[in-house]
Amino acid sequence: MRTSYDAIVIGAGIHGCSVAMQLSMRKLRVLVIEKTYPGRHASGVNAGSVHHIPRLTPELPLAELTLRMWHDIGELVDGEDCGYRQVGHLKIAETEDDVAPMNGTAEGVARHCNIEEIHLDREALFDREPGLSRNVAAGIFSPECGYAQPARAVHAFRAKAERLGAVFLNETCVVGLRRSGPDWLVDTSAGPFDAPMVVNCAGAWGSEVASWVGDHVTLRTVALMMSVLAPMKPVMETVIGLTRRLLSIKQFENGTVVIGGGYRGTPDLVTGRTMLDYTRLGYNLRAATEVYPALARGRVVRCWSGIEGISPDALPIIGPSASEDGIWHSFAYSTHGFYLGPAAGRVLAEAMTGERPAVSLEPFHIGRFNSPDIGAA
Amino acid sequence: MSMTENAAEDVDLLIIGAGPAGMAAAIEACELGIDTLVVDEKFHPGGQIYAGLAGGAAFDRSVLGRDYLIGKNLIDRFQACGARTRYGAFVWDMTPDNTAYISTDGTSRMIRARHAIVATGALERPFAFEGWTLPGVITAGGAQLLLKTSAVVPQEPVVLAGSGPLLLLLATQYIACGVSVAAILDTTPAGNRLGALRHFARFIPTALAAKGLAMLWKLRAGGVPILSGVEDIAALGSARVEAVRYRRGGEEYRLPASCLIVHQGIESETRLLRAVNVEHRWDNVSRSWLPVCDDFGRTAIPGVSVAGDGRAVLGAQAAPLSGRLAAIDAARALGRIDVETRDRLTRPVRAQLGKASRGRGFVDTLFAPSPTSCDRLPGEALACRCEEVTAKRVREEATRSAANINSVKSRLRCGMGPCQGRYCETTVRELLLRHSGSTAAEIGLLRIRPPIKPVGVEEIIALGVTELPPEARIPGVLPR
Repeated sequence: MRTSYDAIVIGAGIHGCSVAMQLSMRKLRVLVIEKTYPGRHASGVNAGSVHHIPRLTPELPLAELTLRMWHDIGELVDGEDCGYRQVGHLKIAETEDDVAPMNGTAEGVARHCNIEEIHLDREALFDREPGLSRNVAAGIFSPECGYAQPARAVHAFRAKAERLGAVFLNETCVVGLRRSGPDWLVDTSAGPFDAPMVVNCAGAWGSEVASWVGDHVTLRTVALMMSVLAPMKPVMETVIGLTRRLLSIKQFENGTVVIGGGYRGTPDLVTGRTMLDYTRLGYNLRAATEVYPALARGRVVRCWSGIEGISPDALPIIGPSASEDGIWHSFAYSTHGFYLGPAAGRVLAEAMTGERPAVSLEPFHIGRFNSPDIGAA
Repeated sequence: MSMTENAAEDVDLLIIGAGPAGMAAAIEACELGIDTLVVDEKFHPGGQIYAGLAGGAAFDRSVLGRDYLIGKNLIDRFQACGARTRYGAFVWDMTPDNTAYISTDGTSRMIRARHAIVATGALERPFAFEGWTLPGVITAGGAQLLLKTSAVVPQEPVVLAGSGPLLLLLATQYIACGVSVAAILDTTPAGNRLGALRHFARFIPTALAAKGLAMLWKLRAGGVPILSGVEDIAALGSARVEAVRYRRGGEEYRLPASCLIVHQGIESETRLLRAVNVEHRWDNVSRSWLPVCDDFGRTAIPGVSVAGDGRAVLGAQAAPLSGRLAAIDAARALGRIDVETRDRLTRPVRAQLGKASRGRGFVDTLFAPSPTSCDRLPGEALACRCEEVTAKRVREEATRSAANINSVKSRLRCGMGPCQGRYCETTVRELLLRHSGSTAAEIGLLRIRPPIKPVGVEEIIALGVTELPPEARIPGVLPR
């Protein structure tokens, strides 16, 4: 195989595949190097939620762009809809005390992006979601949101990138980066490859790759747990979240229900494996049944957790290296990377090829951590 | 955070599975004075092989043969050995710190074992073919279980198809029950006979050989036609099986059938071992992944051993011996005996195990699954019944991206259903091996996503904390 490319992407998660596709659409010759297989970790095993609440202010313009891209996802990836279903997202305040903070959050979001939000009082909540427990106070419905099928999305992006000429090298480890004149040499378990541009899409392992070029950030690594229930009769329509405690529930078209939200197992970065913590998983399921009592009759068929890297300010790192020309980062998506996949790949490719990015990457620059004090966990 | 009343129960030795290996391990462990708990998902001891002997419908079990009846001896000794037992209890996850999650009567408990012996036996090798999901098609193991526990026999005409000793044994048992077997369609590849020949000299003086010959004689006396060289089995029918179609010598035939009983050998059930990250190795004869362990069955995971057919399929004579080896070594690991004592106690057992394994080479080679077993599987046939994934889609996907079976699972969903890949992993792997150009090592084995069998939501809730973990609290107004 050839060893020289226009760009080399490290990592074939949703972000590696997305940026590889966008660069290929711009006629660059792209190599993607993946240590196992595409979508092995967080990208392929997350819960697939596509919604913007409760994201931090600096991320909202990117969130808005990504939502628009999800709406037309089939056009972007040649007819594969990635399982995207615009069923809406419902954020629920469980008590009267939670309503004012929830509305405050919604107002904050509305100031920074133009995504439709509908306030629902208790009765309107039950109209929309009759299966809800009576122990809820109010909600905010975002009709433009929904969910997608993570593994399908990763492979739709990968497949389009491949159709446009990108090369994917699976089961290959990147072991180092070296300068070679104007180019970068990427040393791998399958030998060296070179390109003038390298994109670090290594997810939870991204900080290690960044450190090779002098960009330092310490990620907190977590393994977020999820459970799938065997197919049930329709319980809910929308993607559900709460305002005061972590919880995410959605029911797919085949009747299966995915319950998650951010309860933590134990990750092992060396083996790539994770261990479940049933004390927390049990609470996660308890919370779900408190919101939808019918779920208590469900049967759990699979539980797992995916490895994620959280940056010190919980915002992703997207953009050029602070230390070296030709190195670009796209990692540390801090547990909400999947839904940003379409937009992040696009704006990064725009920045890399000298176009004006549709959304400023300024807030995501790795330079914000380059003082060791900030980067320390 | 406060825990519920569901505190973990501690035990020195946990034995999972009360088949021949588990029972023998328990007897040995109790003799060595070890606090032992045996759990089994059935309601009686005996495993698959001796199912029905310790409880079940009342009928004259002599029709099942002498090799079955002698199991009573082991069961009696086990029931008198002093081990604590828990039946109707299935282990749905085990973590590398040796905590087993066990569901009984709709309640799950944690059992923390200082040492665990996994004796989960073997499963029938999945056998996908045209029409395999039609009602009226059952596996030989399933059919035999119905006979052993409930005296249930199938409705005639009965056709048996596939390969392996169990198929022949079941036919002799049906004859003894007065059920007529229309035919045995033997799909054992012709090449296997040639390969097995070199093991023949060692096989012929063994008890296994005597048993095999006796079975063949009974079948002949019973007038059951055994058709060798059969290919392309298909179950035909609209709502249920009505006929079996097959090819033999280039010709296509049909047989009427109310029940088609299929079998393609058995393979080690290692899902719990995979859950605790025990390393597995690919075995090219049995075409299955086997746990890596030492002569005593000890794996590289501290405190986890394996015994019986779950270690490698060696049958009912060998299983109690490997169970005893694992138990004696567990006594050493638990500090009850020293290494010298272990070696002294296990020496005769190892010799017996060597003897009991003699002749397996012939059987294993003769009935080895063929690497081309899925070649003739029609594209529309289901490889994965839970998620309804066809053979065609697996073949197409094999060449599209990484052939790692977990990657294929994430793309096609095969293996995501409630069976956790029990019914599809082998078929999917064989299809990938034939069409991707990847090796078994590259394809790998399915990662376990517990529970190993579905568990009620409320059972897992009861294992959890009742108060919100601090990291799950969402702070006030966002964004600021």
